[in-house]
Amino acid sequence: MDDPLKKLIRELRSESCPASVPDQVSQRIAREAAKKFSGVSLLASFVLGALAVVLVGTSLFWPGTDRVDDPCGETPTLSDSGKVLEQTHGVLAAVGHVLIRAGGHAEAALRKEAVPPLLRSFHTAKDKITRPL
Amino acid sequence: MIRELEFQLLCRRHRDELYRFARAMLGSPADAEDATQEVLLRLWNHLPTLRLLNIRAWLFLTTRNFCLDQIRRRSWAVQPADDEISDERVDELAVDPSLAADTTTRLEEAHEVLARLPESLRSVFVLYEVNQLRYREIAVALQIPINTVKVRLLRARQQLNQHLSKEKSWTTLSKS
Repeated sequence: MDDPLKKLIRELRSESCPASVPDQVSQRIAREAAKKFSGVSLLASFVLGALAVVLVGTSLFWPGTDRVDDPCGETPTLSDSGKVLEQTHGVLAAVGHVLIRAGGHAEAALRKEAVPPLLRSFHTAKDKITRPL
Repeated sequence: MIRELEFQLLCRRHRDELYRFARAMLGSPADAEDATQEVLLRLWNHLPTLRLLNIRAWLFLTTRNFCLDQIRRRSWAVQPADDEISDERVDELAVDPSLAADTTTRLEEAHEVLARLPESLRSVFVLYEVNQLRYREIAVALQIPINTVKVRLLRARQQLNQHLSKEKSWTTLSKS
């Protein structure tokens, strides 16, 4: 009744997956999630930066209302150029400041809000799996 | 959160059978662990798009494809890339020779006997007898007709019986 083939099958069925495998999978998932989030924040920063450059460029080269309405058609004076430079400098500084703050905030938010619940849930699941039945 | 719970449940339910299947395909426990990890990771990535009803078949299909890739990679490391790899060659490379030499435990002996089957028969045998899948599930997982599954299973049993009858340790143990 108990032939060698059945013995073999029983032996093969007794094998189980080592407990370290789900742990390592959880770690890899957490690592990949962190990478994905940092990639998204990098992309967002890049898009915002490009947008800022376009806005600044537009504001610099767009024909100003002052010049159009100027009845005498005078060329911009040195003081006007200085003013424009000053404004551009201000705009760039503001955009840079916003970008830095946004980047920092996004990273902090990801670290605080996204990664810990993910890790917690994996640890809970790990405990459930490794707990003897 | 739901995705994580679903994933954990699926992991718990299928990891052992995936590991056993990968072990039968690759021979080495370490390679089987790597394969199981990789498949579970793919499960996590594909979970939102998978249908729950087909997940078991999907898991075994993914495991089999991954294992065959690994076996082919081993063969590329051994021989020049332009050589065509035959099925027999794949079977030769499927089992680590160092593992085959070390038959200290009963389980390893079982794997050694199993490794003598060609891959096509071995995968059907392990899925049906060890992991207890149905014919239809095996047909979906291995992408072959149900009749082919039945024929391969029969051949696998015949070949294993032949091998086991030559092994004293299995015949004496079964009589006792």
